[in-house]
Parts: sequence; C-alpha cells; structure tokens
Amino acid sequence: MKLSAVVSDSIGPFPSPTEDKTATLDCIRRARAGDVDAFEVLYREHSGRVYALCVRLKAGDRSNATELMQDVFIKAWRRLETFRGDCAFGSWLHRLAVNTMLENARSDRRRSARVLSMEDTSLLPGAARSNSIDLKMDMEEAVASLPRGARTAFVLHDVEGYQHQEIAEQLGVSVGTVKAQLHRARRLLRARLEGTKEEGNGGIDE
Amino acid sequence: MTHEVIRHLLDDYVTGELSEDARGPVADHVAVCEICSAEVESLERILARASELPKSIEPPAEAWSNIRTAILREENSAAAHSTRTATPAFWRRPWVVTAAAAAAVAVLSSTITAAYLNSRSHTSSASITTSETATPATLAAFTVEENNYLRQASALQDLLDQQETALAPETVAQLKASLRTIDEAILEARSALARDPSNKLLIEMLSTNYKQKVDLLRRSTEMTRGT
Amino acid sequence: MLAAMLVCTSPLSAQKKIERRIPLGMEGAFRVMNMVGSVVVHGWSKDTVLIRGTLAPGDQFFAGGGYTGAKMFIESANDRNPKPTSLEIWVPARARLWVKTATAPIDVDGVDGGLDLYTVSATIEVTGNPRELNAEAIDGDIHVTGSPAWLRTKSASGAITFRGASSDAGFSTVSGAVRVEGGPFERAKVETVTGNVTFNGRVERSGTLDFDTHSGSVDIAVPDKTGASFSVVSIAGTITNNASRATPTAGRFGRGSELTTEIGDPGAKISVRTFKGPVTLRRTK
Repeated sequence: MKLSAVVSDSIGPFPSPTEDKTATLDCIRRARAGDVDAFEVLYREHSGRVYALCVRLKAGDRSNATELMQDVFIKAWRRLETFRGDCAFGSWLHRLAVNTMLENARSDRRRSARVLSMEDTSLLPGAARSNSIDLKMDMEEAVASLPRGARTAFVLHDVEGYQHQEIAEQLGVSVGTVKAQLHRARRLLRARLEGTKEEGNGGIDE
Repeated sequence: MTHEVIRHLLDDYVTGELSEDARGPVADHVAVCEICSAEVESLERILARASELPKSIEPPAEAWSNIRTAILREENSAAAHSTRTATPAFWRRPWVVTAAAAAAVAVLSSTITAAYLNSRSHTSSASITTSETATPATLAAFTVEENNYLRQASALQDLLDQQETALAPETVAQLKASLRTIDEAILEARSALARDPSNKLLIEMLSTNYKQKVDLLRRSTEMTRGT
Repeated sequence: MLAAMLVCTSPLSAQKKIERRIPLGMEGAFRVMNMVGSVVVHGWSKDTVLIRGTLAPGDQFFAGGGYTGAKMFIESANDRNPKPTSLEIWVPARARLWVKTATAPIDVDGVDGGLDLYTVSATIEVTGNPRELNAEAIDGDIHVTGSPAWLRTKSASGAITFRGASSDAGFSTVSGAVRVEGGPFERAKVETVTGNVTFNGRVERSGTLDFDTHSGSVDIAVPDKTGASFSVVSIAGTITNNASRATPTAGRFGRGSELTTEIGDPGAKISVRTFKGPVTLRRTK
C-alpha cells in the first residue's frame, strides 16, 4: 500500500529509480542550447508518466489529455532555463503538468460560464454509469467518473503521491478543501467500485 | 474520542497522516468498532487499487511531431524577438559568435547583404562549391537577413492566427501542412549549415526557404482580407 | 474611378438569374469577387462587360464603375455559409482583369491584357496569351495553356501545369508538382520545397532556366539540338546525366554531388539547386 506520508526530500512524487541524473542533465543542457533531438530524448523518457497524469486529470479523455501533454512539453521547452536541477526532472515536469492544467482550466472557465457542480455529474464522461449501483466499474473508469475537484485531489494525492499541503498550494485552495475532496473521492470510488449506495451529495465542486 | 469524531479521522489514519497522539486512540477504537474497521478496510482497498494504476501510459505517436513543430515555430519566433545577439537560438555555439563575426554584423549594411543574397549570376553558381574559405562575415551577414525574415514570418503568423476562423478548416489544415513542410526544409538546411558553415549554397537555399515561408504567410493573410 | 455605383438586389426567396452590361474601355480594368460557385471569363472585341449569372437565394449582386475601371462583387446572405453563385463574364480582350474567389474555380480564355487571379482552394485555368498573368492559390491547382509574356504562378499544395511559351515565367509551390512543357522560354524559374518538377521544352539561346528545390525531384528534358550549359548542385541528392557524357563529381568535402556540363553550342544556361531531391537531365528527339 502506498503511504504518501513517507518523508521524501523531493517535492512531489518520488523520482523514478531508473532516472540517470547525469544523462538527463546532459540532455537538458543540450536542449537548452536549442538541440531538439536532445529534448526528444527527454520526451521519450518522461512522456509516459506525464501522459498518465494528463489522462487521469482529464477524466480519461485521451484527446484532451494529448493536448494537455503537448502543452506541457512545449512549456517545458520554453522554461528549461528555470529548471535548477535540485529536484528530479520528472517531478519538475509533473508540477508543470498540474500547473498547465490549472492555467488552461482557468482560461477555459473565463470563456465559458459553466461551473461543474457536484450535482452536474451528467456532464462527465462515464458518469452515466454511476447511476446504476449494480454496475461495478474498473478503477480507471471510476476515477474518470469523479467530479473534477475530487478527481484532481485523488489523482494528485492517492495516485501520484503529493502531500495535502503541496496540493493545496498548487490548486490555490486550503488544506481543508483538499482533504474534503479526497474524502469525497474515496467515498464515491468505493460506491462505484463496490456497487454500494453512494453517500448524499452536498456542496459545490470547487 | 467518540465514534463520531473518529469517523472523520479515518482517512488520515489509513494514509498515516494522523498525529502521533491521535493514532493510539483511533487504533483502539477501530479494533472494536465494526463500522470503522469496515471503513478502514475499504479505504485500504481503494488506496491499494490507486497504487496499482499504471504509472505510465503510452501517448499517441503523433504527439511528439506536434510538439516538435510547435517548438520549431517557437525557435523561429524566439530568434526573431531576441534582443541579445543576432545569433539565432539554434546556433548558440561558441565558434559562431566570434568577435570578428559580431563586428562584421555591425559593419555590413542590409543593402550589401541583400545584394549578396540576391545575386545569382551563373558564374557565382558555378563557383559555389569551389574551395573558398568562408569568412565569419558570410555567416554573420546571413544571420542579419535571417532575423529579418524571422521577424516578418512571426508577425505574419500572428496575423494569420487571428484570421484563422475566416478560412475553411481544410484550408487551414492544408496551409499548416505547407508551413510545416517549409519549416522541415529550413531545419534540415540549418542543420547542414551548422555542420558546414562556409557553404554558400546552403545559405542561399536557406534564404530561399525563408522567402517562401514569408511569401506563403503574406499570401494567406491577404486571402482572408477583402479588397 | 468609380463614377456610379449601381446596386442590383435579388428577392430573398428564389435563385435569381442576372444579366448586366457595363461599358468598359478596351483596355479598362475589371474586378470580380465571387467567393463560392464559379467564375468563367471570355475575352471579346466589344468595349462592354457582359455579366450573366445565377445568384443563390438571398445573395446580392453589386456592379458599377466607369469607362476606365469597373468592378462587381457578390455579397453573401450568410457569410459563414455562402452559397454558390455561377458567373459567366465577357470582357474586352485587352482588359486588365482581377478575380478573387475562395472556392470558386476561375476559368479565363481569350483575355490578352493582364490577368490577376487569386483563389484559396479552387482551380485556376487560363487559356490564351495574356501580356501578364499572375495566378495564386493556396490549395488549388493552376493550369495555363498559352503564351503569357510575363507569368507568375504560385500555389502551396496545388499542382501547376504550363503548356506554352513565355519570356519571363515563374512557378512556385511548396508541395505541389510543377510540370512545364513547350517553350521556347527566355527566362523561367521553378521553385518548390517538396514538389516534383518536370520540364520538357525548348529554351532560347540566350535563355536561363533555374530550378530550386529542397527535396522534390527535378527532371529536365531539352531537345537534342539545344545549345546549353548545365550547372547542377546537390547537397545530398543524386544526379543522373543522360544529356551528355559528363559524370557528376563529389561535392565539397565529399558531400553531395555536382555536375557542370555543356551540350551543343554555348547558349542557354540551365541551373539546378537541390538539397536532396534527385535530378535527371535528358535530351529528347
């Protein structure tokens, strides 16, 4: 079982054990100088993890996830200078992915007045299935069916291993909100995975 | 601590984020409370499944080429807007930015550069590949010209982006494909030039490619405008 | 130039047939804008412009001008989804004609003055011998049959074909194929990025032909008796010479190849520059 309370020196999720720090730094240095091929090496190494995060943040919507991931790497290219090398490159990319998602969501919200409320689960992919309490989903589906706030908190905390405080900082909300969203996410997941009755809804999603 | 209170501490208890003082009492309660122990088990199951989710998902194959294309455009824009030196980002290599080159850039006027790049008399074509040692001035002169093109292309690209909705989606797609084709040619020629900086032919080819790009962008922006 | 603006509207319901005559001097200028549908123009010997067409319901037809210059355009009822208007127009043969469309094909014949034809994604077809012809498309093909003295054709992804002669001809595409036949050519320049190029024609003794491409193939065929010197340079492509006995030599630093050779008496200059497209030189009977 993954316990996110285990103390970690780096910010965010643990670095991948196979990450060869010198080789990566070398690629980063070359990419900073304009070498697109070196950047491709970094992409090949890290895109899988970044994409997984994007897919889950985007509720399983592959095409949105791809767009988000592309945005992340383009931003990474632009901001390579700001990578200090004091944390793992993968972690840095991860934070960038979350930031990018939030930035995009903020500008999307500015454009459309729609706010997803807890009640409004019909707008979410896979949500239709949650109405049937007999149907058990698989884990990916279940996570994808969560309302956005709960899903984001769950993916960052329980899947990716961020701490409450870090998530609160990145999302710009209080630790209490993060915990509440997590709580909600786990209850909804249990209901959808184990086919038990859902708890009543209350409050708004973000 | 009552059951009501403990119920709300179970999440943190399961993930080990509960304070030292609270752990004991909660553990004691869970041991004797069916509801809470069921809750704890269920939470442990959810977290176990969360940790079993694949850490990595293979992105679609075309994602990299989209990123690469965007980066190439970024590089072209960045070079055009760079206020540091006249050296394009792609060529940030020490031996290009020599003092002589920098001085040569300052000395050369754009008319000389233009004349040099536009001249295509046959004698010069035939002698393109004779072994002339290139002076830094040649490359530096081209660099000035290149920046002009990059600035023009960038401005036109912005204009075109604003007008994109005026064109049919198939046309936009076709146009973007054509621009990508030119960018690829530019990248190949630049890479070759970086390896062979004294090659005047490559400089001329690059110049032609830039002209084509600017021309296509200009024509496209004009298409969407009425008269 | 625009002395009076005549407005002709059509009822919103039915498709309307229009016919309009506008006086225009023999060398006057006429401007046509019709985004969707078709535009066919014929040159004739009258000093009048005759427009016949079928308007889509709700569209409006505007035309007006003076003896030296006039114009017409179609205003669509719905800009976001314009319906086609088909036009057939007669203009004085020596007029200067300017046409702009988005997806409406342009077909011009018998106009000897000047032609400026612009489209986004339709085909442009020109038959005749205009003094000057400028045809541009983004995604459309361009076909010219005839002998414009001065010619510039540009398309990004469309193909260009030319059959005729010209004293100053330019052909430019990104990925479209370019096919040039006939001649004689005094000056011709063909430029593509990835489009393949075929040339099969005659070049004047004092003529120059220039071919520039990044990776398109270049196939040049000139008649047997041609007197010309060839200069071919390639950074990374192959050169096949079936026009003379000369063989390509290695380029600078052993990279790529180049070829300099002459056939017949000294005369025309033909140059090819390519990054990596294959080049073939041949002679025809």
